[in-house]
Amino acid sequence: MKRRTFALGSASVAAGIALDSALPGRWMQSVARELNASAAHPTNDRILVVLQLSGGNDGLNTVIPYRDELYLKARPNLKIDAASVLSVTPEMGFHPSMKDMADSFESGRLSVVQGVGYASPNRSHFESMDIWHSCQTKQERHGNGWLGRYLAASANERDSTDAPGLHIGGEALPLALVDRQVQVPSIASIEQMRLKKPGVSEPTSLMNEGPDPVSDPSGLLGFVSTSTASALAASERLEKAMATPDQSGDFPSTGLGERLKIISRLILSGLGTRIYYVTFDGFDTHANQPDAHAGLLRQWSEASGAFCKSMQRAGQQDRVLLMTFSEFGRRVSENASQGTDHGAAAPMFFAGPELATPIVGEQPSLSDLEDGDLRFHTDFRDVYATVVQDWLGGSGTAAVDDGVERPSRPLKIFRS
Amino acid sequence: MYSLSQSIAPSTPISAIVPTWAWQPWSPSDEEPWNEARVQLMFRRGGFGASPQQRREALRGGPKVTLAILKGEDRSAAGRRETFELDSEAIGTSVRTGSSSEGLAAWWLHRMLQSPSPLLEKMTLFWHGHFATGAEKVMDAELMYQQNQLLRRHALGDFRPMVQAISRDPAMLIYLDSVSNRKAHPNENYARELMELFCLGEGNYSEQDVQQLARCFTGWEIRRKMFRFNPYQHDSGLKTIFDQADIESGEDAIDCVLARSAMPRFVCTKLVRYFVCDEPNAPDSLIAPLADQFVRSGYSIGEIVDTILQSRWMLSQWSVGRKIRSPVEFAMEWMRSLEATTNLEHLARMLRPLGQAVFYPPNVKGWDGGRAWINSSTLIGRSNFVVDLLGDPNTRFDGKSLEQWCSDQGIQDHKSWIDWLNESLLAIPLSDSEYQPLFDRDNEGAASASRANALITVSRIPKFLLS
Amino acid sequence: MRCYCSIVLVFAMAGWLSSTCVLDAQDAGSPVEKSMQESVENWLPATSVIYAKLAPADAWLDHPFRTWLVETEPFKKVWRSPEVLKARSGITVAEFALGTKIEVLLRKLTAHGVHLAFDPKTQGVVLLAQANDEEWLARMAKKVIDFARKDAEANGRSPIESAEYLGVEGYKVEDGIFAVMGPWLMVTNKSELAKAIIDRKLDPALPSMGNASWHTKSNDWKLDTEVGDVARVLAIDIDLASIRSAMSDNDLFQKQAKDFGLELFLGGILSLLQNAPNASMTLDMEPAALSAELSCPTQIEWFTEAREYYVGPQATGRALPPLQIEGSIAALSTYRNLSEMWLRSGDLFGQEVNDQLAQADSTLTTLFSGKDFGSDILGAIEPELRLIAIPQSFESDALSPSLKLPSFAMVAKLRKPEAMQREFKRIFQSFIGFLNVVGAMEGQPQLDLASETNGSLPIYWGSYIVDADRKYENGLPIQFNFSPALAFSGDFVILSSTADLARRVAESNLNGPSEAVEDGVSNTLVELNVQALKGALESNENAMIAQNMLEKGRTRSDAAREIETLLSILELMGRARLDLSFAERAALQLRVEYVQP
Repeated sequence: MKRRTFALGSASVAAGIALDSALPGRWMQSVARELNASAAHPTNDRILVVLQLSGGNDGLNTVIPYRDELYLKARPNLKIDAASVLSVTPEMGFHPSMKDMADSFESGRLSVVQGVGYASPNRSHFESMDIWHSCQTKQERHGNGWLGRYLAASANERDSTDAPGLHIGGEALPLALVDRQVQVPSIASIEQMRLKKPGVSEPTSLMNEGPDPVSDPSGLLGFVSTSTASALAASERLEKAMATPDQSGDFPSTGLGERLKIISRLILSGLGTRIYYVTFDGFDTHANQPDAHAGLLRQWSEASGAFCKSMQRAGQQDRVLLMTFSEFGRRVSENASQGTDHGAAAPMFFAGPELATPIVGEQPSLSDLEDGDLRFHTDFRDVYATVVQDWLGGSGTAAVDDGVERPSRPLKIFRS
Repeated sequence: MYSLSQSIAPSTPISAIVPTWAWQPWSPSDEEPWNEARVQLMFRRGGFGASPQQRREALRGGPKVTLAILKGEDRSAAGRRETFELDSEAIGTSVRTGSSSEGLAAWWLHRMLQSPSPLLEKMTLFWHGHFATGAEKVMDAELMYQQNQLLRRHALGDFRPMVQAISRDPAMLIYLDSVSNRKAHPNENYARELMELFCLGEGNYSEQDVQQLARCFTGWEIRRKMFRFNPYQHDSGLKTIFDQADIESGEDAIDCVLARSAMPRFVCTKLVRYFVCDEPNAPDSLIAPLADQFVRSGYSIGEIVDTILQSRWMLSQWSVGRKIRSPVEFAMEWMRSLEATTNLEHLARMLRPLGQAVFYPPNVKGWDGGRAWINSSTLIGRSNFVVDLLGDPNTRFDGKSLEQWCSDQGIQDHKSWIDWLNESLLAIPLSDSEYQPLFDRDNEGAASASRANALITVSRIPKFLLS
Repeated sequence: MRCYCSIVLVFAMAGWLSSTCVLDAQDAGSPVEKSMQESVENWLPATSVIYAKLAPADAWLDHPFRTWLVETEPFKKVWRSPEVLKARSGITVAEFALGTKIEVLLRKLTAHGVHLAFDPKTQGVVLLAQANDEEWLARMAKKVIDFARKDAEANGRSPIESAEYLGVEGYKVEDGIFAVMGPWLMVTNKSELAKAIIDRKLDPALPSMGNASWHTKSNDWKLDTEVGDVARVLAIDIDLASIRSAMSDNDLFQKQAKDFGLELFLGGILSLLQNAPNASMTLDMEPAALSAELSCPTQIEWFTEAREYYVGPQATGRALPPLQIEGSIAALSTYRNLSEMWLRSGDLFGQEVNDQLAQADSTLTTLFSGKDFGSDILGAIEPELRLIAIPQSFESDALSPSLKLPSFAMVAKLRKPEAMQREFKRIFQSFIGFLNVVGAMEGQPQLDLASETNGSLPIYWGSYIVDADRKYENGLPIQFNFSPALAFSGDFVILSSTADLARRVAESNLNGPSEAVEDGVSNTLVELNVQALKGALESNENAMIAQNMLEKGRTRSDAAREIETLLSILELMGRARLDLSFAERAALQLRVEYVQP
């Protein structure tokens, strides 16, 4: 009997609240309006999404020199031959499970940077990954990374209280995003960005006016009030983005697909965040590589394809760049377990906007190897610096911070 | 509402605060009575909030008694300490067996929530941010635990033995890549941070000093997770650090750094920022009396903390709302004020999205604090945290439901509940334009729902972010 | 639906338990003809998908299980807890208002059993009970309605509505509808369902569940009300085909399993769920045990070729008798051709799982030094697998880990014993080496490799070394529960978490009594010794208390109390056995002894 009264009571309370929170205070409304307006026309609004393939992706079986006799000889069991490769040029083709990426390549929205690496390559996953993140060797390292340094250097240009960068995933924050001057949050699920509404009001709906200077001498109250309003506006835009159905096919329900979907939703919600970081593990294929690698490449290609399509549908394709790298490639020769061991130079991938050239640099020679590995001809630090300078509009030298002017030679990746 | 009457106006610029006045012990007067607002302020800054019972004791007893409660020196603490330490040890043993640093966070949060000496935990948290060491790199819960106990041991003790001890702490040296420090290749990392982050601050040393100091630490190694001095790797030549030319050992080098005049100023400035106000930084003239006392007392941290917490400045209306609650303070004050308990592992996990996972500081500089706590994802995190906490069936209030707890506190109707929340959770009271809608909104329906709803609403007001 | 089930259950439980003496319930009245009882099935609409019969209260109220239960300590504790006391006082009020004990009421009301059904078309749940005394029932119904009317009036709720349908008077109390039809009481949540039942009661020609194909096929079970022996107290008949078509999106009904664990544990059962027209469930009370059985008809064609790994060729896969080792906690024996499953994963799973498996295959093949995991490693053993878990004892406190885990072993027959023994030994050595390399990187203790030949039984194992330089303030780390071992006995290979258990298993009769092997029909058998389990838990009581403190945020003393209660509940149980077989009828049986043997 009592339970029934309770149920009735709380239902009416919930109804009353819903009505109330639909009418936030005047001040709140105006703040939200301003924020929405600024979200629609940000000044420098280009976004970089970094996708890290952990474990060392076999670059040679990703973009494949399928006519090269030396390739076919080095990979008697693992080779992808002309019959099955998704050929995009007479010399180069994508792995057959990378249909989406091959399509993007054909449409000029995917670019492969060949032969990327660094001098005296390190073959430990951890050390090489740290080098890629920090751009520095162990002795030079200061516990910060290239994106962290970029965000720190560009801190003054930001006026948004949205996080400057976001790492999507449950693992530890990648070193690349670390810097003493900035804090980049890790979010494991999109729920962390959505306000829970348990039937009670939103934080600022109680505020009719902003705080006046008399009651707020330190300015902190004004700061937290504006920030709260901004966070709410972001959450509301996210709700709208979440509610917008995807017209043509959704993200694959793989781990990577889910993570890229989160990034897509956050971008579409107009979040002021400009750097997103996501990792995809499992590329350490020492044995029985064919099926494992095919599966990994399919997941990568499908998730990236879905991401680029969702950006296109929203008309965001020209401001969102997806950059993919791995800590190293793999040996040219396969091993005795139908796998490959840790190697050196490998390709990097750029997708999203229309790019300057489909292939940047040559496929490294298979006849001129260094300890059985491909030689790099493009330092990854120059690639990073080009991205920072040409895409994000920052200082490549400051971000890379390895004591050299970067990029040390120009790389033509972007159109403008 | 209660308010602190003021001898300096809330709007007084920090440069106008008179140093000789600021650090005098506060004493009650007709204009500045010892009242509920001051009790709250002292509990927020010196601990993690307090239960209604403790607040009543503090109000009756005055600032001295309040400080005693914060330090666990009050009468009731002795009885509670033994059970508390046994409980804490049981949890600690369990999480260390599972060797998870996240479990370790649950263990520490239990201490923050239940310790009869909250000031000690608050200071341990301070030092954890100061000598920041991250479990994601150390990858050994046992070493993180030992470091945490080290920080606790020294938290209110003397600074010199603390720095000497932390310089040999395995977790710290692993975190700063100083596991092997060889004569041929002195590792400058620890030497640099010792001066820049731990003792002096940037600009108070040269690159030359860093190199010389690094030489002193050669041969300081971590082997099998323990500190070891390897005389064969130690550079036994004399080094010149600052103006002192006769330094040989690491111990002497640390003492040499500690003897710099920048040290007391650097440490005291950071303590003032931790306890009194996030911004702006106090001018040197305001820090000077504290720094002098620090030197006179032989670098006694406890003495400085006592001075700050009882000071006129700290207990003035000026300092109210001058700090942004850290996520840990946000959660712990909420819970301590309501005598709440919950699933500790879940609690540790829930704190991560708020931007402060203990044992996982963002980098060697620790948490910046102040405005850096705030961004749109951490704010949503704070709002959701309260909802999640109330939604967890393990969340109890002194072992009871929220409704029952309120009723046991004599809170029978909606108005007294809103008043209680206003008085107990907020540093700056609700304005009329906030109070009325809050009052109207949840003033209906079953008590259990409206108690929780009002609590969530108050916890989400921007004001709740301030301390 | 849930609400009504729980109301019925609460009343049933309360009545069942509230008095231990037998009241004036023995006048069970004259037996009603069988035809009348069975006609209930003809009253239910053909769209019903679940039909259950509950034995008359006499059967379960007078059963030794109840006599035993009310005397147990944990029960007495719960019975005196504030929550239950509150409920009990509510029942006393109701008993006063009705002028009769709930237990008497239950016995009379269910004298000829209780029928429950769920009809998805109306979303209705119905309970039909046949009393032995029509007049008594009419009187009780009136009292209940009067009581509800007054209560509604006093609490300002809307008055009790009543309506008549084809001569039957129905009452609406809150969301429930009550009606009395002669000796029958009907309670339902949907008036459409009530009307459908009245329609069919009056006109037997209407289509009903009684002549639905799924029902008649499994209508041969009966409720046995004999007290003191095995009493079948509950029987449920399920229209699997209709549920399947209504829930076609559910993971259980997909041709390819969504995750690996689901397929590994339930693969063969999934085939049945996807094909069998109906299923039934029974609950029996034995003098010293409760047993439940879930069964359904089986046809060999339902198992696709890909599921042969689970049921064996022509569904003839049989588990060997479980290992018998003194003091064991649990023993599991199953037929599961893991190699076949691994190699058939392309048919069994969708793309996503296969991608993950391909990755796992790559990693595992690396781990097993280049031996192909699916064909070389898993393929080396026969599909009859046996596992056992047993508590371990440690030499001294100083040498015991702070968390004490039981030891585990797995036994399988080798396909080519001679060649594979050498092969396995080498793989085992590199595996220990691998653990040491990884362990060294993470600062974990190291394994020392050792071997012995116990008669003709070679055993290889690694044991963790106590690091003399390191202080183990917290007791030894969890690794010290393990001394991973490999042993051979005849054609069998034994993999064990400890050398000690490997030795004991190797010395036991692994072939088992041959008649038991031949007679066996089970696919999977699990035997659990609850007392041994309790012992293993008790040796970790401190860890459990700490875990409880962490999870509930409680004090140590509160947590200790809860753990104690939990352990005292285990105290009440003897052995438990789970048996899965695929004969003409597939059956999953669970039997739990509630009195220790």
